[in-house]
Amino acid sequence: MTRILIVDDEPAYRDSLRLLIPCEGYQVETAATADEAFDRATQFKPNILVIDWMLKERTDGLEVARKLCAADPHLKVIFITGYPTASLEARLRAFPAAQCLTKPFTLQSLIDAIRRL
Amino acid sequence: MTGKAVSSRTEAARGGKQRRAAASRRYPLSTESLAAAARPQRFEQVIAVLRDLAAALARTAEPGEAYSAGLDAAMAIADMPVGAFYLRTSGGGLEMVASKCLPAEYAVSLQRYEADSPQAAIVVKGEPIYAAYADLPECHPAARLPGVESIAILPLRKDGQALGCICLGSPSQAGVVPALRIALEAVVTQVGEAVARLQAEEELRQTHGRLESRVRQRTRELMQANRRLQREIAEHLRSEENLERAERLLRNMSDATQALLCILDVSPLRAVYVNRPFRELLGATSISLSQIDHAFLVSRLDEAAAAAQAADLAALDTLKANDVWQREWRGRDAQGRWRWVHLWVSPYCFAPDGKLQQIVCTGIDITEQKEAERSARQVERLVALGTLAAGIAHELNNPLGAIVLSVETAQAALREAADEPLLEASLSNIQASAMRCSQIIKNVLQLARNRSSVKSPASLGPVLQEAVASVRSAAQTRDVTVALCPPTQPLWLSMNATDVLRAIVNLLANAIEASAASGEVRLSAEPRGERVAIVVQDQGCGISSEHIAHIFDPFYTTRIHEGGTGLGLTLVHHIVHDHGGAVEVESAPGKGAVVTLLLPRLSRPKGLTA
Repeated sequence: MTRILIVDDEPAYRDSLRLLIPCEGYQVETAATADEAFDRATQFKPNILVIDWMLKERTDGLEVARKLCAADPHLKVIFITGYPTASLEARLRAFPAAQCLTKPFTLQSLIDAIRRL
Repeated sequence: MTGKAVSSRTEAARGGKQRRAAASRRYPLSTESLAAAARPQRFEQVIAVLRDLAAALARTAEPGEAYSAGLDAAMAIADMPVGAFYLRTSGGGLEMVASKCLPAEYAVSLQRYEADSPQAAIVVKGEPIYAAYADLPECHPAARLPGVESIAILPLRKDGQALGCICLGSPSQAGVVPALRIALEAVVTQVGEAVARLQAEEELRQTHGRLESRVRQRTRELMQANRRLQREIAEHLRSEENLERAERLLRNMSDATQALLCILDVSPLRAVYVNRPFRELLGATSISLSQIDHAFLVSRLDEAAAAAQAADLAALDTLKANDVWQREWRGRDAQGRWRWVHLWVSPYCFAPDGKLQQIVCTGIDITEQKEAERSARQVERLVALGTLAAGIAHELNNPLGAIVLSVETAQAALREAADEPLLEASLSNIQASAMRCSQIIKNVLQLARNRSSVKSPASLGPVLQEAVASVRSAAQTRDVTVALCPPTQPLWLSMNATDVLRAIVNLLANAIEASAASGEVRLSAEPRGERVAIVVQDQGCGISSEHIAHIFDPFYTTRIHEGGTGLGLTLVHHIVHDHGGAVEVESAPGKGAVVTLLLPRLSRPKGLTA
């Protein structure tokens, strides 16, 4: 079964996604911070990482994703953002396989993005 | 008496007979005619001669004629066939002025007698001499005329002055009979009078001549002066011509420049000079300067500028010699378009009492600059808004995303529970509202990103058709007709068709919103110079000038309760600006609105068709 790690500082996202994604047949784990993310990833070993690129205290979601990908080269990434900027788009070129979703998004658009990976 | 003299006289007596024979051949008079002098009819003849002489002398103005007539008369009366007329020269000598029957070979030697000659002395003495020629020992032998045996020397006098003499000679030794000497005296007196008169006349003529010569001299001087004057006038004219040329040059320069220039009388305010660009701007190319007065100028200005001008007019007395007032006024040009001008007003001419008479206004048209400033301010506002909006959007999108996902969660939970239509409808509303919030944020973000879109050459026609199609249902709902007047020729633009479509749709939607039922909205496009004008025209409620200034501002909407986001025209402005174009709005309350998008035109690109 595909394991999805969701990293977002917004509790509503974490809660909704934890409830909804299993309905689609995926296994879900969530994290609110970078430290939590590293922690969960070690135990959970996700296939897919869904991460807000701007976490609390301006923690760089891309940096977290880069480290996790370095640890597991097979890890696939979906970035979510409230504000797609030009600089973000430029930096996303380092993750050519990654998908990007702009908030707000529906569950269906997230599932579509997962399937496109 | 010397021996030589006796000898010469003897010789003369000896040759007397011969000379007489020669004289009868030489001279037409005969001894018979001389004898006839004693006859009574001879006196009548003498009287006739005297009468003719008097008539001739009275008639003549020529001295030569007088001499000749006098000589003829004397010769006829004395019946002497040889005669010469002498005048006394200014030096006291004698000079022959006329002669009769004088042999040519003697004429030269008898021509002149010096002042100290016996002849001259006889003349001065004034007594007539009648003598046999041979008895005149004083006479020069060379002067002896062949065949002349007797002579008469008749001095001419006038008022005791010696004038000259008439000398007569005859081959007869008889001389002049005493009776005829009286007649000769009369001749001499008459001739003397005449000569004196003629000399006086001659004197007069000479004086006259001198006078005439002086007149000629003076005339010459006057003509020279005249020529000098003409030269000076010509120079003056040339300098006037130069002045005119300089004035023409100045006028041409003043007309050729783009700067505005006018000179105005201040009381009452009236134009004295207005250069061509200013006249064109004012729409005053065909009216006289005197018609460009205060009322005319005020009619061209907007309210604020008219008020400012009135204040300036009232304060003109405070304008000092070196003052320059700078003013920015808005007014309508000849085509009724609003133009901004920056004016420099300074005094031009003061009256002797120091009162300001004329002012000079120079100016430039700063409409484009003002437009650019306005546009730049708009862009600045958008940039500031963008920075703010980016932050807000980021913050809002997170909770919005949570709302959307939470609603989905709730809906999923609901599907498993009982059928609750009200709850489901509420959740749908929450989701729709959240999605609309999301759309607003997307619009804001698009503005805020301030990034130019990708453009490619495309024909405008299909974009216009798509725009009309996409508002058709909204128009039908409001019973408004949307008419498309397609361009008469393909119009090519370098554009982002999606953005331009959005801009046109936004304008059409606004026009439809503003229109009353059964109103019409027209969409047209035409080339306008190097640009394409896309015109959206409605007959709706119109926009007040107060609102026109703000319609491109973000969140400025008069339809806040009708679903307007206040970003539609801001987006239009943003898109047009992104395409290097401009937006013009012409409207007044109740008179509909005309919004024109001016976008740079492309010539038809190769390999593309409309």
